[in-house]
Amino acid sequence: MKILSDIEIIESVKKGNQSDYALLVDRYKDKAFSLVKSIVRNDMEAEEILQDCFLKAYNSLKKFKGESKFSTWFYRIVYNTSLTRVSNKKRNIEFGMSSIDDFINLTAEDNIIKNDQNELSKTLTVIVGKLPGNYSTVISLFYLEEMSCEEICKVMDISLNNVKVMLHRARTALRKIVFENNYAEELL
Amino acid sequence: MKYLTDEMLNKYIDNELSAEENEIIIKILKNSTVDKTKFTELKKINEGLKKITPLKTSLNFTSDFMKRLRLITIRNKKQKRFIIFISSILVVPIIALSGIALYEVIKKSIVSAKEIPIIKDFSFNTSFITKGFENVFTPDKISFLGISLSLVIFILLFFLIEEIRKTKHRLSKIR
Repeated sequence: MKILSDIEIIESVKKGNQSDYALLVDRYKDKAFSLVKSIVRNDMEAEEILQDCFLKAYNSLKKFKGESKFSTWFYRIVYNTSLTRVSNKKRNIEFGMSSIDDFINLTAEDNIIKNDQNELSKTLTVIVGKLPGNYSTVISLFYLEEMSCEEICKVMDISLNNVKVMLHRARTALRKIVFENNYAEELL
Repeated sequence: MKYLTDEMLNKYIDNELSAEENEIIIKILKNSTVDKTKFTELKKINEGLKKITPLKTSLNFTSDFMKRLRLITIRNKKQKRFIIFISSILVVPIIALSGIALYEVIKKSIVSAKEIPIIKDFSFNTSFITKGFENVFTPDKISFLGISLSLVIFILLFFLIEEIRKTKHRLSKIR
């Protein structure tokens, strides 16, 4: 069976085949969910925001001219919508570059390892979720969405250098969490 | 002893260094066990991150969303139709009132124009219009006009109610 490209699906939806939009939803829901979750930290709220994002994207499909990839365009909607929701609720979450050190001192009390996920990647997913918002978002976009640093710049509207710095700091933080807390022996 | 920074090692992993810098890093890694350990750890983290899987949305996410999308589309269509109906109901009496007003204006202008010889010709030219208006707005026919307008409004209302009924039916099917 032929797998339709994003552009083909969008063209079909624009022609009035609304049900084809489900293909796009299925394609991006999980990855976008990880991105929203990295910002809002709540499953229920993340799903609600994600639905709004898909709805916004649907209503703006006519404006999408295909100048950039659909994924970049869509993740920008997701990122901005999540940020707006967070700022609207005036959540007291850490979202700055200086706050990463606070998260390095995660201890066994955080229950990171006390679950059944004894693979490094699965545990990393849990730990990534505990990183400060921006770092978690960069990791999600880079490793899950497989975006380049240039694409991440466009989504997050920050400089290329900032993206690279955040990526490196996030990896360093993860190394310290995993190896300095001796999770590595259990994981590797 | 000065060790390599995580930043340098990260850049080395990401191939962001020049060939010369790469060579220096390789040499340091061969001689320093601390740096080599740090490098191995960072590399393992990088490899682990490449394998992380996205979080899963609930099983019914797509179907729930598509249901919501259909509902919203139907609601939007319903709203549009409602606005069209309401505006058409309003437009018809407005047109009728404008017609009456126009008729009154023309009637008065003709009366005054009869006193000015030049405009008398104009009144002659437009007489067929005024006569038409006079025919329509005579006391007998104005009631006929009212009945016609009421009929139009009733027909429009019928379609409006019918549309609401159909929309309700469609919504109940989706639920």
